[in-house]
Amino acid sequence: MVSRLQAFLIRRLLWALPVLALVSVAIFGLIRLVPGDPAIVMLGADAPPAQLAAVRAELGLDEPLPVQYVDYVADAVRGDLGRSYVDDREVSAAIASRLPTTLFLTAAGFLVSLTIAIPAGLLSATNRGEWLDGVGLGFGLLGVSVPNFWLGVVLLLLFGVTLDWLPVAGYVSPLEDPVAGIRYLLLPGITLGTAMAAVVTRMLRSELLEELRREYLNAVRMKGVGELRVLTHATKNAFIPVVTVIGMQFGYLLGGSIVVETVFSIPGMGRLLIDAIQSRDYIMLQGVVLVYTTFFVAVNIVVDGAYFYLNPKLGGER
Amino acid sequence: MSDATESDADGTTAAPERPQSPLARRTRTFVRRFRRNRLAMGGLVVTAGFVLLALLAPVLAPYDPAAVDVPARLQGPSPAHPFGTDRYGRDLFSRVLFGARIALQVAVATPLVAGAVGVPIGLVAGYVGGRVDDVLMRLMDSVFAFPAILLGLTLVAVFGQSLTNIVVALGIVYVPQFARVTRGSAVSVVEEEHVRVARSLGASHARIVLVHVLPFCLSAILVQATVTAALAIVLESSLSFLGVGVPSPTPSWGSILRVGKGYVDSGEWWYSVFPGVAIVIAVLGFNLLGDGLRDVLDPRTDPNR
Amino acid sequence: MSEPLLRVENLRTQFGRRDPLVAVDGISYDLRAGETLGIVGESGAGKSVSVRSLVGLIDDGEVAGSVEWRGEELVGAKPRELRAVRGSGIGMVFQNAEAAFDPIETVGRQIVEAVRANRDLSKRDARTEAIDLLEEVGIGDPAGRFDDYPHEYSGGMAQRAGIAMALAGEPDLLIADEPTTGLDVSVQAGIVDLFRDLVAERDMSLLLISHDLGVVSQLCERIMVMYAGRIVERGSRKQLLDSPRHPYTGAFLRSVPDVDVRKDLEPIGGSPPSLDDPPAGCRFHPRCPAAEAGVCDGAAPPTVSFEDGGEDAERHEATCHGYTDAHPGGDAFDREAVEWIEPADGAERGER
Repeated sequence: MVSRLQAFLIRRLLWALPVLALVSVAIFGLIRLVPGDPAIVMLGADAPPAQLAAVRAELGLDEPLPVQYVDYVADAVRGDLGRSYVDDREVSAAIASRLPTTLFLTAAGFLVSLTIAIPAGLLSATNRGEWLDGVGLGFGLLGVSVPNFWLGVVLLLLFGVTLDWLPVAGYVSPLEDPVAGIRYLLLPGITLGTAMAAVVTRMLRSELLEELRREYLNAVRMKGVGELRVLTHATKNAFIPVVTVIGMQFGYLLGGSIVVETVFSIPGMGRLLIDAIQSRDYIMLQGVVLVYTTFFVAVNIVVDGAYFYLNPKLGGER
Repeated sequence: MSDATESDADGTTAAPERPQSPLARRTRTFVRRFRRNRLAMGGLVVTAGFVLLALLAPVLAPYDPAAVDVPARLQGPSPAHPFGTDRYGRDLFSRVLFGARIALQVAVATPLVAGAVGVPIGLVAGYVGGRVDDVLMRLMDSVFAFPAILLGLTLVAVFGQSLTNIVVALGIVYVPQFARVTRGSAVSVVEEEHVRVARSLGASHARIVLVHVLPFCLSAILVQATVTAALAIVLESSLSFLGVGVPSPTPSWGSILRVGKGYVDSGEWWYSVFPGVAIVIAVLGFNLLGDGLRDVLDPRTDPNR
Repeated sequence: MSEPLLRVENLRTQFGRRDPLVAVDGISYDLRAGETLGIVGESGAGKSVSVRSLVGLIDDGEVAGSVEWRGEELVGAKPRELRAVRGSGIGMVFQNAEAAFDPIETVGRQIVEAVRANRDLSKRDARTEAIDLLEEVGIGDPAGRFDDYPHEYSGGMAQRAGIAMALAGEPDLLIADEPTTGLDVSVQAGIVDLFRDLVAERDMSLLLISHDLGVVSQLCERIMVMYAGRIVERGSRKQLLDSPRHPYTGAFLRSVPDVDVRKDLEPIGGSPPSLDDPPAGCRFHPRCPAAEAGVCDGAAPPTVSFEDGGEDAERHEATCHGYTDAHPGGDAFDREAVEWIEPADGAERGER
């Protein structure tokens, strides 16, 4: 017996397959798109011929393209993303060592953004037209207009250098040392989370304003309950569409983490990616992009599932 | 200022000859509502200021942005150098002014590239519908599956770093959004009376799409273009900040900040602050304009807000 | 006679400050315990706003005048005071029942919330009580439907559940705002029967709003006719149906199919005035067949009282120029029945 939620998730997963397939073709095509011989592009024209030959063999450049693609996908599914030509690391191992850091950073940004956005959106909507609403609206507009890397630099200047309250660079895993971990994650988390906080604040405000006009809230009032209960009903309802936006923003947080890791010198996947680009380590680049994209697609499925689950009209919560 | 409003409005709607046409009526309403909208007018003022500064940078800049003056390196703001100097003694005020030219090119060219690809896709998807619509939109979704910065980084890494390549990469990043927005309007317009009449009169598909569908999608496309301009400025500066953007001698705001970041610890705050403020103002202008346009073009919004 | 449960004095509700729209323009009435009172009128007459104004459900407009609940003033009352009256004093049934429920919570939980807001019951007892309420309003398999969502209820069932929710606080007065509108005729009849049973068994008062004179006349002993924000005629059901005194009431009766009076249907010509710029004088005069230029479009009409309907009859009043000497009168106006005339300014009262 499959529940409606399960059926929905299965449909959604099936839908994700062609997306992932397209993405894998794109990533696969990436290094083959580079003008010229990929091996020379990676290693330079004056690289030893033996090394060039090794690269060509590893990439299977002598095989026809479809064969190369099948090999690539088969390897990727088994977790073999190849070896870096710059320092000979296994790509999957390098990613595995960096992934937790990026996920912690993303989670920190996520927490920060909801911590700001939920109260800000609520206060803005319930004080419509008053100064608090103005603050909320202003934050919503400014938050999406400030590039996160610059916000990071400003926070560094303010809290790291001028006030000297928090570390300016580096990372300590919160699992090893929770206090230091949080101290290191605080500024990056704020930097990463602010733009999303702004987007969610705006969305929550407008959804809640819409919801506050609904008749059922009068029915709730007529039960003789306080306005807080009324607001709870409205907020729960307003949140359903906001969940979708939050999910999409989670993907952007993953993207934003690339920049934030650079600002705060955090050794995550983003640094790996930038280093790979700068050293023309295309194998590494390919692997990192694939992992990012898989996460992004997975998050989208989870979000759609959450939307489905929360909305009883679609057959969810019971 | 009001001249700019007029030309802006005319530019959006290629007003047809007959004054009683629905399009002309919408244009008039648009101009009236635009003038009353504080967000839109504020955004227009800021954006116009930004465009003006960018265009007049060679006239306004007190120094050659590339003029090295090593003895004067890393000086704080002063009457001679209002934004201070960089690590080679170059005048940061002049560099920020010239940086506006890069930002302006990105802000104009990115929506053009994205629109040139995305709008036709959206028109075809919305007009033809059915399986074509499904396939095109699914394709757009998979492009969208990449976070913008990741897609931008990857494309630039492949194409190589140059302003043209960056604009093309950013353009590709925002194609799906243009396709989506255009399709959304096209789907609703296709059902309207005048389109059905044109179809029954035997007009060609191309003519129907270009004359009867596209003009009614322009308002949504305009809003998208404005928002994309803001996003593109942020994304370009992010790429440049990461060292994957506009190559080094060009004074892009992002690449100035990339170098400036190295001087945060040692206290040269002006290096990081002024270019960033420039980005925020330019982006804020487009975002205000976008929000304002959305309000103005959406009949449901409350004008008293 | 006992103190009224509800006393409404010169209630006035307006929206917007510049060019205000006066939706309710000075209406007054009393409601005693156990009474059933109906307000009829076309849509847009201000009926719904008038009852929402009683219990503080107007948030973007201004309510003036006085609403006393058991002697306690509700206009301008503190939220806490309103809370105390809502639910346990006054319950409300809304027009669109499904829209009156939170769409993402089960019907049962929403009724439990209403029960617990007014009575000190444990969660389990409140659940039992909610199921009893659902049974009382005629939901089959109430325990089984407890966990259904509002959209899983049919229109008639949702309205029954809405009534159960309004009863959860054991109110002394039930306000029902167009409770049968939008329902099938057969479903309507069931809802009307339900209201009749509930009023009898629970010894509740009922204030019923409807544009459907049939529904109101089946449930209410007293009826008020509202037009463009004002009450134009009031009296007992019998007085109003048998001898309508205001031309609007007469026209309204002739335009409605399912009242006891069998007549050919005559729709009322024209449409109700816009309330942001109502006509001068009597607001019905632009549509009134008996309107007299220079009289009906000038001063506000006086309130006229009639002697009819026997000894313990309600006061029967209409607000119309047709019974004054300034108006030529005619068949529509039975001046013999007039007991007294109260001019619009309310200063003096003259025997006729």
